[in-house]
Amino acid sequence: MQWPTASELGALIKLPEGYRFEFLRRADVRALAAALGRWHPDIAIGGASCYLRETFYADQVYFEGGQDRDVMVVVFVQGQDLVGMWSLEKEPDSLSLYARLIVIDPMHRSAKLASNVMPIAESMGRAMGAGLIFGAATLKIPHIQHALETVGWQFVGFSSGYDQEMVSPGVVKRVFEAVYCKVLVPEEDLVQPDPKNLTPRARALWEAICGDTAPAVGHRP
Amino acid sequence: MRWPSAQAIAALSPLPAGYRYAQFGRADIAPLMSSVKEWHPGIAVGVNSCYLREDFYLGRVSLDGDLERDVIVVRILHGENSVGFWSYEREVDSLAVWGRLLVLAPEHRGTGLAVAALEGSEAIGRAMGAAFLYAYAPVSTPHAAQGLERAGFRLLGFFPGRDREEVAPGVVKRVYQTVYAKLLVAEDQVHWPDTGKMTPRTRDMYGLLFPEQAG
Repeated sequence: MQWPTASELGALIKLPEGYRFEFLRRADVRALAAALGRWHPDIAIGGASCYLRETFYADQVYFEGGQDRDVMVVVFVQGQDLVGMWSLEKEPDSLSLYARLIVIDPMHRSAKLASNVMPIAESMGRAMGAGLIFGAATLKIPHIQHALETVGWQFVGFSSGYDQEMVSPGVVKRVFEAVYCKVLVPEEDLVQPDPKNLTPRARALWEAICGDTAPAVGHRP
Repeated sequence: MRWPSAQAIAALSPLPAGYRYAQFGRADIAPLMSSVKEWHPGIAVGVNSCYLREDFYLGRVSLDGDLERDVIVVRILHGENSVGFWSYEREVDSLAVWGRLLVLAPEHRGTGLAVAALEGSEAIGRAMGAAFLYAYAPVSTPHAAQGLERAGFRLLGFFPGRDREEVAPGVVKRVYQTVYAKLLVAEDQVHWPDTGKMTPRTRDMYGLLFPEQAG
């Protein structure tokens, strides 16, 4: 699973007039980490707080032309200004792609940069040979859930307290997110569960998620 | 979030009589890779295939008492013989622990080792300051899910295509997995979501999985 080049990515992403994207450059790491702290202060605590640490980029992030690594960061730019970022992580052993984080400068949220790249994640996954793409949507607002459902991602469960977040000044709690995925392989390459191997709870969830369309789950248009 | 020593793990997560834990070290890498291939041949494909690669151990696993790496492997011995191991991964920023793998030699299955390990995982997690434990269970057999439910883990999701498996010789396909977890904090430490901020689909599923919170 190789990350696309900037030009390959450019063929996939069409941003609104005036915006462009770039692979994150090492020289911009400090500026991005500082900007993230301003754009999305809640990130200071929890699983995505690593994006505020320069060592994370040095140790784990892929820079174009450099050593292959599992985390990729793309930045959105207007003129000379960073206005957002998008990060994915690949899992080569499971041929999966994890949509980790997308943050847009509040001043540029009306440009709908995030909803522009969501369908691209699927195209990128297919181009890289991934068989699955997944990610989590905040339950603080319904917009990301709607956006993922609109582009055919399948609800699969809740990350019920997996992460922690500052929910009000000085108050850190465990938080819920909705987890979605899209299976990128043909239906015949996804083994359907045998209901007799499911516990009663798992069977109830399976039927609720899949209903009469169990064989097509993950493949809904 | 620092891993407990093998000695501390023995106190936190006792094993059935006749079995004991042993620290994992550099000298154990090759024998473990050889054993896991024999005990669990399906591991050659998918997310845990890294346990067949030396570089995974050298780069990511705590070795010889160095407890500051994100992945831990603990060997299970019967007498002087290695009969299995379990492995967890810590996620420090989230205060979460992922129960990655428990592999036992076939002749030591059904001895209560898996149940003991699952039940002990909560004490280990609490001792290291974790707030959340989770694990994926394959749906090809009911045993892992049954064990997790017996140990008090809660079903959170049904994940299509989460991993890959060799379903017949030479035939690799994507497979479903169920996701189970256990919260290790008090209820008042959880920010329960507002169902008014959910899509109809998400709200329905929340009602099914968390009926006591959905109201």
